[in-house]
Amino acid sequence: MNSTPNAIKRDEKTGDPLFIDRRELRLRYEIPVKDIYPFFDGLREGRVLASKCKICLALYFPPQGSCPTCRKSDMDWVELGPTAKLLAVTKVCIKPQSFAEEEDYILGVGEFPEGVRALARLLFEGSRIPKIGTQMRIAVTKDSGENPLYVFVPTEAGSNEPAP
Amino acid sequence: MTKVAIVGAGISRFGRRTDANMNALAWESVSAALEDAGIEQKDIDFYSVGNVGVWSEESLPAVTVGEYAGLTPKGTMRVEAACATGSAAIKVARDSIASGSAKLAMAVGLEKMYGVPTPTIVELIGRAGNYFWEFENFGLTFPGYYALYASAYMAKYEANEEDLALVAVKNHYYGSLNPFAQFQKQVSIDEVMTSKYVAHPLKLLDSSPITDGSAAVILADEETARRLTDTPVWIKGQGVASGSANLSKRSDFVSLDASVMAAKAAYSQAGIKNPVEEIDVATVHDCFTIAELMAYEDLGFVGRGKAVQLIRDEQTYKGGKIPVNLDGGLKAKGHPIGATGVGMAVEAVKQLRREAPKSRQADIRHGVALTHNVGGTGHYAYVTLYGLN
Repeated sequence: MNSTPNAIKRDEKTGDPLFIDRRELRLRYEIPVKDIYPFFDGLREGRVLASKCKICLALYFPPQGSCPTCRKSDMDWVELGPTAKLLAVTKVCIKPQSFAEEEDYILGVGEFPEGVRALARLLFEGSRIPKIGTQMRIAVTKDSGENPLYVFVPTEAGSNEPAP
Repeated sequence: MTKVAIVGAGISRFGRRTDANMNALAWESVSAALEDAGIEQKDIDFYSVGNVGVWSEESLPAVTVGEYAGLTPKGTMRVEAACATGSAAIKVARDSIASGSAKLAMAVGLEKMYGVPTPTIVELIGRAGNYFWEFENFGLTFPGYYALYASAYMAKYEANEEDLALVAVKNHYYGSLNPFAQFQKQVSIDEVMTSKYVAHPLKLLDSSPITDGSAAVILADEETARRLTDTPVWIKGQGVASGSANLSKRSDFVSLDASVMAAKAAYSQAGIKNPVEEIDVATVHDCFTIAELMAYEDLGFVGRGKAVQLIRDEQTYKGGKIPVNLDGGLKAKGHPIGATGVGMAVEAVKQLRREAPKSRQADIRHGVALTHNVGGTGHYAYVTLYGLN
């Protein structure tokens, strides 16, 4: 061991020599959002907006600035919700590195009456996983960095879970 | 389309390969494929290298593998289709022959995933969908994607977690018979059921592992194939399709539409009317146990909601109606992302040539094998039919 150069270590399990890369790579992307900026304006006001093609009236969520059908970039912005039906759900237990500090979290896909769907965190009492078919409400909260974030919460009427 | 056949196939041992870097790992399967085909590097007109990368050291694996393996200066490219990368590499090689630009082409699949810590891999694979809308804000993980499907499938068809576990038990059984597999040990239903949740309702033993590995196949046009071998394995059809990046744009969560479309196209090209009656053996994309159950239905082996009964009745074991993943599948053989699709092709070749170990050799009656290779969560789908005729 002592005779090996600094960059080389022995694998703990196999004992094989490994060269440890000394050139660490860190990446942080800059993503243009000009064409969907109204979405972020809406979020700051507590509203979740979808884009809607002014020509064919197609609704887009996640929003996009161009309609591939009409090949035009002329969009209205319409508010989603407030209610959505839970189509699929999971609780993430093994987390990505950048989420490692968080408690296990619940994610689900909710379908709005307008037909579009969104994936978001579910904030239900006691980290409970609601049943498929549960009616939820979309709301805007803040993430750990104080940025506005949309989430699904129980409807104000309380439990709207389907009967077992 | 010009007939194209596999005339050589090779695979490395799958697992945590601290003994081989990317190029050396690729060489294990490239050299085996050259040996199997009885040709030399100079005979190859073009080679594709399927590799997803980022977690491994080389940014240009097609050229580093080419240099190490003596394939330089032949034309090449790196191919990416997430977990279906290997099948995409085969498509590129096949198309190069079908177009007439090559007579012999090689498709190499390669992935070296243990180069970075596991949380970094979870981070990188979690971005394999729509990064901005589903990962950045919410931290959806790759097991999480399939767990969403599992939740909807189980609710709709009254399947339970034990049903999912049956898939793991079967595939580990076959992994125990495969000396190239990452996990060569059986697991019990109890062991699967008591393993920790990764993304509810999927547990650690519902999931395929992080894997290093490589596989290579050599493809030839008809004239060259017949000159090189008495047992060419023909590509009878290959269907390809894609799905929305955002899972929230999927119409339901009980089936992968891309798989359905790819299968339909492949069956049409190969003239398959009744898959269960006409296919001897299948390797399907069981990155998670739920994925294998959905594949039974998406590939038309059974009707909607009937996959659970098929696995409960052990009809996808050797000797059953349609044997599936007799190599251990992604679940036990391992899932080196870019190599998986090529590894499936290698398995199809070995099965059709009756070269698999007897304990896991399917009964070859029609001379037809299927591979089903999904990228992401139905973001890409490749269904390929291989045949002796």
